Amino acid sequence: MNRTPSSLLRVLRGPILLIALGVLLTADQFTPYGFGRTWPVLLILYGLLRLLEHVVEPKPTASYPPSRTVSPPPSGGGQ
Amino acid sequence: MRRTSLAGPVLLILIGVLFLVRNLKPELVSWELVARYWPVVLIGWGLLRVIEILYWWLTSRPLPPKGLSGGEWVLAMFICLLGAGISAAYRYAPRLPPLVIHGKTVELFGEAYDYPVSAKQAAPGVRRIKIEVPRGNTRVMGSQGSEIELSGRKTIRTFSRTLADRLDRATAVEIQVNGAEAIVRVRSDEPPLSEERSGPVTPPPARISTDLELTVPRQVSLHVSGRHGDFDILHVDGDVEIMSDRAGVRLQEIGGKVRVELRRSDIVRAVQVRGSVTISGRASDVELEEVSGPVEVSGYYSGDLRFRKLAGPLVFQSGNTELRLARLPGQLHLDLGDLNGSGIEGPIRFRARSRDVKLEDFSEELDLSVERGDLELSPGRAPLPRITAVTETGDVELVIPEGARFALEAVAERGEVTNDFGPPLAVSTERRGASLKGATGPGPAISVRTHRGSIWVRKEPAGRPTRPVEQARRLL
Repeated sequence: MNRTPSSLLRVLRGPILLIALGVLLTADQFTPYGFGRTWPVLLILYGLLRLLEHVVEPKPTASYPPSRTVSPPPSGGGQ
Repeated sequence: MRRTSLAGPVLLILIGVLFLVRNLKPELVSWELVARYWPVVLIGWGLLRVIEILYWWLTSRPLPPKGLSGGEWVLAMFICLLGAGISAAYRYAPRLPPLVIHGKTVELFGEAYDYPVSAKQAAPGVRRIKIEVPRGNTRVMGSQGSEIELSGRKTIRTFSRTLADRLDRATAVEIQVNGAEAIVRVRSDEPPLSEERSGPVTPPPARISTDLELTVPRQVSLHVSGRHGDFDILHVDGDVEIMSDRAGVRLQEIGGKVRVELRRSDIVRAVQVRGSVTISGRASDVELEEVSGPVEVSGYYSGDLRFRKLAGPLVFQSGNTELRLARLPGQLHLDLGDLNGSGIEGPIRFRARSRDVKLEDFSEELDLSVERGDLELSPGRAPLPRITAVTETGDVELVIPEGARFALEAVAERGEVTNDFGPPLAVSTERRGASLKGATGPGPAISVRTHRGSIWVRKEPAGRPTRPVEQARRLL
């Protein structure tokens, strides 16, 4: 079962980026911060989420049970 | 087992509800709402997804491999493009000029809201008035009074009455008097939409045009500037300066100098100007009549140019075409194909690539050269002007009054020469062309040359009725 915290983070990554995109575009409409200036936030956020996955990921040698076949590779390609 | 997300159905329901409400109660859902709040859809979608995933996680159900599939990202990008498109349309569309189809104007976006404009201000010592109207037609009339009075109408084309009201307040028309100078302008200094971005200023989603009718003390000078709109100026004794990106200009009874600078114009017309007239830019038609000072027209002109009764010199320059003359008691018409004129005082100089030229009744000196075009010259009265006329390709017809004194040399390098003047002119045929030479006594030199074409010289019987130039002189 893919029930590790890092897999939760990986699954949440897409929706969180989508929310961030929505927030930046809303800011583009209603604040002086246009999307043309704020887009790097998305890169930073993506980087942070990936970093966080690595941080919370358990050591492969220590805690990979036989159910390893079910879980996707630890640093599988993102979206 | 694959979990299906709720987000897809919820999005569809939302879009359906939006369109349904728009159809049933249009006043509840405006384009402004959609144009400004569309990114909220992305946020809502993302939140829904997060809640779903957390719920699956907490209830120990299996998680999907990815939070958002590739197809869902494509859908999100599609929403972004659509939203950005609607936003841009909302921001810029009302400012687009109306579409003209078969003479009917079709406004695609927004609605027009009209506001009356009026103001009045005493201006006893004012000598100079600056008028700044970005868009709209302006009519200025000089009067005996000492007041500046304006009335007119402002049209704001946008999506909502509230926005139109706000823009109306932000673009009030005002008259400021500072000593000898007054400014009449449409104010636009405060940011029209307070919550709009402050970076590069985004103009409001509206097209504002102000049609003004101004009455000013007639002794003033005017400096008028605008971007788009026609200017009518009447009965002003001072100088008039007009600058615009796109305007039709009509001036009448101006006491001072006139200076017009335009990027684009369909017509510039000035009648009864006592000072000089300087016009530069791109225009179609130009009409100048009864100008006392020198006239200078330069730039690019594609339509009809008509000049009548110019008491000073004229200099015209447009692309490869150049025309200079000393005085024009008669009239002159120039377009892209022809130059026609009569009653012209020289020295006259004309250079063009391709024009048919027909000049009657001109004096002093004519220096004419075209690459392609027929020439028809009849100086009309003695003493004859000196004439140098050259066309590379074209026929030349020269009419000389009976009894005039001159020395003629006409050469058709490849073509015929016909002598209907008679002696003492004599034709001599060369290998491929012909020439005509002769003199009737000490007089001005007339030289006519065509590279490819024929020449016809004929005599005008004496005692012709009064020439236009004399008529014009009497009128001036």
